[in-house]
Amino acid sequence: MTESDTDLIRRAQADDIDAFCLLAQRYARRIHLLAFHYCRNAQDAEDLSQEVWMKAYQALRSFRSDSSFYTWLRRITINAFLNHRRSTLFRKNGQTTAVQLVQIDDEPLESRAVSPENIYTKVLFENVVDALAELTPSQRLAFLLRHYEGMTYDEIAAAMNCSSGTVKKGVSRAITKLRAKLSPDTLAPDLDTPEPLTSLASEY
Amino acid sequence: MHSCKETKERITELLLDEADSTPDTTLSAELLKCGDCRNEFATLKATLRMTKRSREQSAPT
Repeated sequence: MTESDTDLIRRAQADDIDAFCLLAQRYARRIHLLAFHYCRNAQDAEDLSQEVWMKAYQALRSFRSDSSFYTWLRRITINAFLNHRRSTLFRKNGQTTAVQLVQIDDEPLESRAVSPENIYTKVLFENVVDALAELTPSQRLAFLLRHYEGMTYDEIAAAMNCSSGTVKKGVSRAITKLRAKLSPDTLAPDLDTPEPLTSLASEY
Repeated sequence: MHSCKETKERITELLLDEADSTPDTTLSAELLKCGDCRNEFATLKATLRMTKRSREQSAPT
């Protein structure tokens, strides 16, 4: 039976390293993906993820269950992003691919059946990562937190220590830049099959 | 009277603010009137859908 986060946290807070490792395993990929989309570089994402886990381990005793473990972890991650940005430690012009990213998964992309769907997914993923690279760090972080993490503007503003208006502007500019960067060819699958307006509007 | 500027501002507001809301029938009516605005909406929505799909494909299983 899978142990709950609450039980693992309680054990980890009592210096049970194995429990902390189980928690880390549970959330490692999610944190790594967020870091990867932010850094666009596999090595930086790895470094940043390690930093997050180090800080989480050091601060675990201060976790009070007033939010979910992931929310708490995400706060640490955002702070790590902002600190990294200030110290400008990220590699410049870092190139990476989806293949590098999936190396953290159990099943490398290369071993998956080569199907049009997989190829499209890989191309799509790489296009989106490239497009995200066009954003400023603030825009990228705001966009990721809004559209990948589903945080509200107020939550993002609190996390980034700015106004929600600033966050909204950042996300709006991010969407505009992403739209310009993502090519019409890539957009084509969606645009070729127009949907009723009510259907389009209901999703957003 | 249809105003592209106002409609595009509303599109932006919709995509930014009302991700979980019910469809905006007023905006839908404006989109039906103007191909440019319709295209703007479809393109922005497709952009967000692509990023969403990319995220879902790479999300933890």
